[in-house]
Amino acid sequence: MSALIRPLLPRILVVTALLAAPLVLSGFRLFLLTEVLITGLLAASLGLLVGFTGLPSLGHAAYFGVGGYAAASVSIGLTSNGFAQLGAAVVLASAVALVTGGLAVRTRGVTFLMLTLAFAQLLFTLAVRWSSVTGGTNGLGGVRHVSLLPGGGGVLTSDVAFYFYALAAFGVGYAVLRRLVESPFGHALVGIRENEARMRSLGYWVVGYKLASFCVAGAVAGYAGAVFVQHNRFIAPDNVSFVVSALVMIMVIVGGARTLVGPVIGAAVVLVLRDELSSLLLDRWELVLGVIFIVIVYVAPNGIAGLGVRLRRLVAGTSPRPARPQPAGRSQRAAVRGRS
Amino acid sequence: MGAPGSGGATADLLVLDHVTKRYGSLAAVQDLSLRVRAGERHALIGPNGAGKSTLFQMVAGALPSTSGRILFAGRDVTGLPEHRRARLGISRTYQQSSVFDGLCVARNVSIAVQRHVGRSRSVLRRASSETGVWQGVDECLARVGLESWADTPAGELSHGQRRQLEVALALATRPRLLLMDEPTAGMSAQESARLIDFVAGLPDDLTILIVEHDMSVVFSLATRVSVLEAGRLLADGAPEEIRDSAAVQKAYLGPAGTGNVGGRP
Amino acid sequence: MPDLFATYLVSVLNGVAIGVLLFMMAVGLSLIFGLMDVLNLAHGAVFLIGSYVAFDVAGSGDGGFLLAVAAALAVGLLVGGGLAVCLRPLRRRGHLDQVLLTLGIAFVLLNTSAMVWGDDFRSVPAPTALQGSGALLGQSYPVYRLAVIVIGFVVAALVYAVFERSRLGAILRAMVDDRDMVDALGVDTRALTGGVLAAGSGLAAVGGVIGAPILSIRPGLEWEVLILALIVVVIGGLGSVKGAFVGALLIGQVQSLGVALLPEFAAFALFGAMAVVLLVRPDGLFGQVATG
Repeated sequence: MSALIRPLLPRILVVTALLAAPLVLSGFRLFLLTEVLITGLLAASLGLLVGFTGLPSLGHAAYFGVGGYAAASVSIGLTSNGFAQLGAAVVLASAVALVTGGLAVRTRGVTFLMLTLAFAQLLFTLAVRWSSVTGGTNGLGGVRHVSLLPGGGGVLTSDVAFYFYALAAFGVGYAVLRRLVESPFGHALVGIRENEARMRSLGYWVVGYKLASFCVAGAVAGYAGAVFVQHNRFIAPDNVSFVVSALVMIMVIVGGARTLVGPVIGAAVVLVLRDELSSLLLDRWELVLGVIFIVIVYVAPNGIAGLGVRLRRLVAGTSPRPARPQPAGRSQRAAVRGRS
Repeated sequence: MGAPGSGGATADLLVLDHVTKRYGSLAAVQDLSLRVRAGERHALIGPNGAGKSTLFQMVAGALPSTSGRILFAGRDVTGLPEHRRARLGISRTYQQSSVFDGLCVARNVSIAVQRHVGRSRSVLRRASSETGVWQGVDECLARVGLESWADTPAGELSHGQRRQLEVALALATRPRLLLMDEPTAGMSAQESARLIDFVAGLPDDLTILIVEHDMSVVFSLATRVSVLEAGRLLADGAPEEIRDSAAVQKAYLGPAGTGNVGGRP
Repeated sequence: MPDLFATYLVSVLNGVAIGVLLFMMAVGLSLIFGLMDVLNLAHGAVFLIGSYVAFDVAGSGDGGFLLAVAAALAVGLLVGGGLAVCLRPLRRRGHLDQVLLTLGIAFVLLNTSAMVWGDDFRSVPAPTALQGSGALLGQSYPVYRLAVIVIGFVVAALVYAVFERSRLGAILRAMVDDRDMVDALGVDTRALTGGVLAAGSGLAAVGGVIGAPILSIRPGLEWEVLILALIVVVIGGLGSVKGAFVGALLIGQVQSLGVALLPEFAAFALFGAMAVVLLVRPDGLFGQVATG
């Protein structure tokens, strides 16, 4: 096989599978896959913050919620145009991230964690109390089907049509994150994660980079929130609670925080498990989920993506190195690809 | 900068003007005034607790001073945060080599180089295609002799190699003042000798301020020595003067005058 | 006027009662973080289990209640010890792994207890000797809550005495500052941290028993209490008993007064207060400034 195609093969396979999914999956399963794509993007945005910048946030659901509520409000009150909703969501989520992040990124470790949690809980309480805007505990329903053309045409009523829209939205969002992570800016974020003090003494304005990362993560989360609302046509405070933030964090850890694809895998695993387990075990699926988390911590220190890396090395015949994040290998003196 | 030989303030790269650092009633550094001339290899010595590290931190900008001024290249940097001073040309190495352990050596240096050439804010291009940066990385690695280790994770390097990497990082930003905090700490005699040779071979327009306990290193490298004791400047002059000074000897050099004083400040 | 004062007094006393309960939860969490640098998200589950044990065992009068305390203490010590064993291999790994592990354990504990005790709301009556209300400045106030306040202060005093005045406490305080140094001195820090984890969990479980008559036991309580305890820990400072006490009383007051005065905005007051403290003193009121 051509040396050019070989490394791209996994990606080609995945994209083809995703494109062909509606042929194989029906109704409920397709709905789940759409949900996986949306949640996967949310998890990837948290992965940027936690895995690449080293900022552990337990309040990421807030920005997801801001985007979702924004999109819902636009849909109910203004227009069913999907792009307008996405735009509103991104703008609002970024603004909120800028304000909260501006305060939080000056702190670190547990303090940062608690501040993000605090801001998220504040926004959750706002969602519950500010009934006139958010619908209170009842949430916002009556969200119209998304339309893609100016003037209200191109309405996505079928599950399959929306699936492709969601897939495209995911593709765009993921591509943005990927490009960011592979850019010099992304490399700087990793430097901050690895050794903040050294970054400062090299001349980097660390706070600025952290804030930028926080805002991008928030913007993408808001974007995912908008697609979520366009899919479910409903949003309520439960969608932005602490449990959601915790679950997204779990997806990042389970999938592997050090890569961008890890959190997406984690989202798939957690969501599928939740669905399969809850139908099998009714209420006790969380128990099994808990056991699985425990097992993963001991067996797969770098998450599922980390296992994948080890597997790949074993197959390639090189001795498995102790799990090291981002050990960029250099094939020629000119290029370095930053992947693990 | 002033013409060579003009002396006086114009040739001073770093000026500490009555700098004091207090922690409550405890003064780690007291009313210290010091001048470092451009091109000097200036050593800071003194017994444990003399305030050398605190002084270092204040020069780098990692610690704010309680009072006094710090001037760099004629500019008052007293209020400037660490990263701004780094951009003006101050670079440092730490007692415990501070590098990016989880990344390979080449990536380590690329992070430093990309900042220096102004590419670190770029979000549109792939880092792997920044040829200017990678050329700079090659040069830096060649300079410290780590080219064949480019793909090794920094955490797997030996102690001496980590120090070399750290120096590469510090030099990648083309600083004017290099602060070295006990660079030979934990090194074997052979590694120390290699480091001394390396530092001696650094360009003349680079000013070096070095904290050291190993007297043999000090006397083979330094063009000027300042002695600190209990936060104050005890003596300041050419290495021979300091070595022969009775006051300094009494303070801590010991009877032989060339003894190795171990421990940490 | 006197009416208003009396109402405020009731609310302040409620706040103190909540505060001492929070202290029992938070002190273990704070010490575990200070000693082991571990974020133990399973702590809330232990509290809830204590409440469930109270519900099960304490039905019959005072003897039953004391038995419940003993049972909860035993369960808490066991769970804490188990946690210590599970966390041992993760000592050098980051917070993320600990979050995942303790969260997984929390899920297991919570769901197991739900299987045993069911999902509904539960309520536990106070021990008969302490039922009823007494007159306090013209207001009637439940005797049990006053008892809780007294017990809470006694417990706090004991913990403080051990931590600040005993030799064991001196070692623990040194470990919060620099664990590696204490290790080097030949002290078995692993056993000590395991002990603190067990004791902290035991105390949280006992808190659950004592708090059971005051709170309504329900699923979701464990997360609420955990979040409140985390706030206390962060405000008070990691690894500080004094901080946990002051923080707990403070949060207890904010919670109680907030609910009494501005029920719509109680949550805002709580998280707002925390955000303010953190922005002014990022290490908490009594926290150590992180070195290195």
